Amino acid sequence: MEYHIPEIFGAGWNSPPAVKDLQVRSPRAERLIRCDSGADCEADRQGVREVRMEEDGEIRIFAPDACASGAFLFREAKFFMEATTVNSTRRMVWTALLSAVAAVLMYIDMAVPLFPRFLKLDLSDLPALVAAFAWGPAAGVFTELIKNLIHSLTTSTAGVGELANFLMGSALVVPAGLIYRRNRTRKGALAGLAAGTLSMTVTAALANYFFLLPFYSNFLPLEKIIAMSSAAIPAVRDMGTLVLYAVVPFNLLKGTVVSLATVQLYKRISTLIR
Amino acid sequence: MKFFNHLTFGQYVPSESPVHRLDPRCKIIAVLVLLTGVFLAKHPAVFSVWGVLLACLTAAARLPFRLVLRSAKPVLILVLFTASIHIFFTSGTPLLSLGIVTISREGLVLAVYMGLRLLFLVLFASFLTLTTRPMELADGLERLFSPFTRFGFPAHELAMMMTIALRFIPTLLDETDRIMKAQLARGASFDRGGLWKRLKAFLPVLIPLFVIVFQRAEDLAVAMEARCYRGGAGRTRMSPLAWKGTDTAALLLVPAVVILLVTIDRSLA
Repeated sequence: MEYHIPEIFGAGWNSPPAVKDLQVRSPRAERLIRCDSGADCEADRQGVREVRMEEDGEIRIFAPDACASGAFLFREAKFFMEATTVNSTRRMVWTALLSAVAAVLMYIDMAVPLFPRFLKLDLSDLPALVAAFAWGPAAGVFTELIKNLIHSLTTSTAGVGELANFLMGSALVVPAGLIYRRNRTRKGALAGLAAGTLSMTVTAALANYFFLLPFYSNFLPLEKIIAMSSAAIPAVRDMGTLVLYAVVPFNLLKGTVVSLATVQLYKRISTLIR
Repeated sequence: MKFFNHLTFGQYVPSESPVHRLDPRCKIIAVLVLLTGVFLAKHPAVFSVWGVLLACLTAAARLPFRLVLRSAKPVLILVLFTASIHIFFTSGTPLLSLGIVTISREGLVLAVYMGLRLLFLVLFASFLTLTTRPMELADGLERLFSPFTRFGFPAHELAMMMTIALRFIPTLLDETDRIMKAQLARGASFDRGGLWKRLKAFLPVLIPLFVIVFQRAEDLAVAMEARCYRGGAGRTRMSPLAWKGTDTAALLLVPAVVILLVTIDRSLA
C-alpha cells in the first residue's frame, strides 16, 4: 500500500514545506507518522530524512493463545524497546522503578484466613499492573520478570517458585494491559483486570498441577501438603482437589484483591503518569 | 523500629579472592549447576560432602562463615517449618512420645535432610550475591541473554532495568519505612484487623510511595536523557567483562564435581 499526500505549501516565503508527504510502506510504518521538514541539512547529508513519531495503541490483536505464545511476547518486547527515543528511556526507567517497588512488595506478604499457610498473598503484581496500564503489556511483563530475577537472588526454591510467579504474573498483566489499551476507561480497566484474574487463575492451576506441586513435593511429600490443606479445607483429598479447592479460589481472591487495589491506586496516581 | 531490616539485597562482601575475581557469567552458570546438584542429592554421605563443599567455597571466597550463614536468616522460618512437619507427621519407629505427639526416628532423619537441603540451596545461591557486585551480575546477565537479541529480546535494557531496580530498592525501603512510620504516628495500624482491613490500611502507604517513585523515575529519565543515553549499541564500559582461563577451569570443574556427586548419590541409593 503506497499513497501520497500532495505537498503542503510552505510556512513562509521561499521556505521548505513543513510536511512534504506521508508515505506508507509497511504495516509497521503505517502506525508511524512521517514528518520531513527537509530543513535540517545536517540530517540530509547523512541520509536521514525523516523523523518518525509513535502513536499510542499500536498492536491491535487480542487473542488468548497469541498472548500466551512466546512469539507474541518477543514481538511485544521488541516493540517495547525498539525506538531509542525520549519515550523509550522514560519507559525503561519507569519500568525499572516499578519493578523495584514490586520486589519490595513481594517481601511483604500476608497469610489469608481459611487457606493453607503456604498460599500467601502479596501485592507485588500491583506495580506490574500499573506499568501495564501506563506503558502497555510488555512493560508489565518486564516488571514481573525483573521482580522475579531480583527475588531469585534470595531464592529458597532454586528459582522454580520465581518462574511460576513470573508465569502467573504475566498471565494477569498481559490481558489487563491489552484490554485497557483498547479501552482507556474505568470499564476497560475493570474488564481487563477481570480477564487477567481469570487467565492468572487458569495459569496458576496448570502451573501448580504440572510442576509447582510436584517440585515442592521434593521438600514436603505431597500427602503432607494435602494433610495440611485438608485441615483448612476439608474437601481437599488429592492433588486435583487441592488445586481445585485451594489454588483456584486463592488465585481468584488474589486477583480480585490486587485488581481492587490497582483500581483504587491507579485512579489516584494516573494524573501523574505522562 | 525498622520494618525491613531483615532484607539483604546488596549483600556483596568485598574481598580479594579467586571466587570474587571469577567472571559473573561463569558464576551464574556455576551456581545454577550447583543448585541442581544440591537439589538432586538424596544420600546422607553425599549431603555431608555438599556441606564440606560449602565450607571449601566459603574458605576459597575468603568470607567469614558467620556472614554466609546470615544469608540463610530469611528462610530460617521456612526451614524450621518444613523440618517440624516432617518430625511430627512421619510415622515409624517411635523415639519420644509426648502425649499425642510422637517423634519417630524416620521423621527426625527426614526433617534433618529436608531442612539441610533447603538450607544448602539458599546458601549456595547466596554465594552469587555475596561475591558478585550487583552491577557485575547485571552485566553478566546481559551477556548471557545477548544471544537472544537477534530475536528481539532487549538484553541490554533488561540488564539496565535490573541495575536501576537493584540500586533503588534500598532507597524505596527507606521511603516505605518513613511513610509507614508517618502513618503510624497518625494512628494507622498495619497488623491489626482482618485481611481487608489490613489491605485498606496499606493503601495510604502505597499512594505516596508511587508518587515518590514517579518523581524519582522522571528525575532519572531526564538525567539519562541529558547525558545522551540511547540504549546499548555503542555504549562503552569502565570495566568490560573479560573471560579468563580460570573461568574456563571453574566452569569445567564445577559441573564435573556435580556430575560425580550425583552419580555417586544415584549408585548409593
